[in-house]
Amino acid sequence: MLLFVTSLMALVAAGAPGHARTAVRVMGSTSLVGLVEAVLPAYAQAHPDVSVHVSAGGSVAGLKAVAAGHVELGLSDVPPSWVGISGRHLVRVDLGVVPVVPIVHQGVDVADVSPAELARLLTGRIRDWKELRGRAEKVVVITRGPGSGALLVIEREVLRGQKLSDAAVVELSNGAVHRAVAVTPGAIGFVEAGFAGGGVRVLGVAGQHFRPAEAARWPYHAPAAVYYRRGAPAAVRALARALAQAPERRQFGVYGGEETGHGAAHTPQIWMAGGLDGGRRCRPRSHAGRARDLVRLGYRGCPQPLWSGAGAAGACL
Amino acid sequence: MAVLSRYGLEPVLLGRVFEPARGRFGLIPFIWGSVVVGLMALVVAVLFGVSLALAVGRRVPERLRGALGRGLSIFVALPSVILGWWGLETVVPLVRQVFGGPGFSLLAAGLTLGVMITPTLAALSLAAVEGVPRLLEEASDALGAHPDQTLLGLTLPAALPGIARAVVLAASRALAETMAVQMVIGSQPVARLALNLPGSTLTTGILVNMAVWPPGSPAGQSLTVMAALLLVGAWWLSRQLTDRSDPA
Repeated sequence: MLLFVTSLMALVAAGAPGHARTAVRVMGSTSLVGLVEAVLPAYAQAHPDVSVHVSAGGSVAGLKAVAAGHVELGLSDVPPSWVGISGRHLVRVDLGVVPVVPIVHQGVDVADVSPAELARLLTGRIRDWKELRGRAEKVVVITRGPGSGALLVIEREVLRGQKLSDAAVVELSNGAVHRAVAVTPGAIGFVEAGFAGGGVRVLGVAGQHFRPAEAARWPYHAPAAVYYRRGAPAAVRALARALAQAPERRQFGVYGGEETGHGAAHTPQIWMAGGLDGGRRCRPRSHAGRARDLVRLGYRGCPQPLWSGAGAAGACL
Repeated sequence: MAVLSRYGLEPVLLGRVFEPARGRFGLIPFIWGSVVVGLMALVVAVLFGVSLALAVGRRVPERLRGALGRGLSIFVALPSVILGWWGLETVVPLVRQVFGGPGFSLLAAGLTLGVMITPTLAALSLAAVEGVPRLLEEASDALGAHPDQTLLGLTLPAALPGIARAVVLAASRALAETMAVQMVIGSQPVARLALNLPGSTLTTGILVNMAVWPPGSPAGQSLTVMAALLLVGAWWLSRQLTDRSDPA
């Protein structure tokens, strides 16, 4: 018994952040957790005295946790204002934007739909793919659960006030949506671009087909950002900057400065979540800038991309 | 609770629409889902669990009985996520193929949960069957009863109180199960009769929404009401168990 208690105490002590180590807890969007894990080895080399603990939970959970001080960094592709969380005490570091793409089962032979048809598919008004000149197959809608950044983007950009089909299957992560679409004949769903890999087909919208090299042209994006509280320790700020500058971002479906032709290193734009940190600056318009524009516009009224990829003109925001 | 006083008992407990963002907190879809999935699971589990218990307890040769009993114990201890995965791989496609729809459905959840609680019900029922004195059965045999008559007319009724306790315990597990159900149910908060379409239970409703709605908000409070309903259900089931355990 004594041995058990001693071992237990030793294990707890080993797991607890020691006095000599700074603990940084990171929580939030499942689609951004992979990026954090990819950045960690280099960050750990530069900050050997910092231990980083990463957990998923979704964008809203990450925002709530960082706002409440339960974690040091929150990962989100949803601005706090969209979900009624006060961002007054938070600092936002833009990571770029995450394209949200509709995916279909590989047996669906419709390659392209209009935005209106996409909305009718997702609301359940188109019940069979033959209504879109495809092979006869019942449409099965797969969606993300409440609080998902991808769902919020689809609701704002595609559905525009219409209700998603009440027969839709709700899944809790991008991976689960991908899997359900891959195995369900006739299925349509939507995921963040980094999850649109094998086993499903990406559906074109209005003649446009998603290609990573031309991600900037894709009409549906979620603004990805990392949040920390004002006055956060240097180690926290350093991790946020490391994430914003990570060349691996694109590998995880986050598209930022590099596509705008301004070099591979994305200059992080740091904001107080309630407004600009340090006043407005004049800089070349980037993906992060687009995300900012979209937020400013309430993610409405800008159906066309605000900029057009490589060689985009600079703009004062 | 504030959500009940603000929105009224009836719109919350008897409301058919759960749309927290629009101020509608009807819990009927979750209550309906829990009841339907639980009943389907119990039908499956009682049919197979009691049959298994009778077969293992009274029909299987003695040398196999121990091994089968241990096998049942292993299945009782299976983590629910594994059974959920099995449901996802097997039950969902089966439901889609046979009944149409997306496969993720109340029916898939009921069947998966039924398979999940069958070992619990069977193991407890087996103990009840084994508790029936052999002497009674030998007396029945001596009076010329067919073995099936003895089994159904004597062993089963004598083991029935124990089997009823097993059913109550299995129902408790069915009511509380979250992960396996979440993986196959489709999590759509809609109350409908079509069992081959997605639905939601109280537990999956809490799971899906808990990360989104802050605890103090009306939506967060509606989740507390859902948890309270689960507690009431568990209390009621435990009362049934206590009543059945009481020799008086």
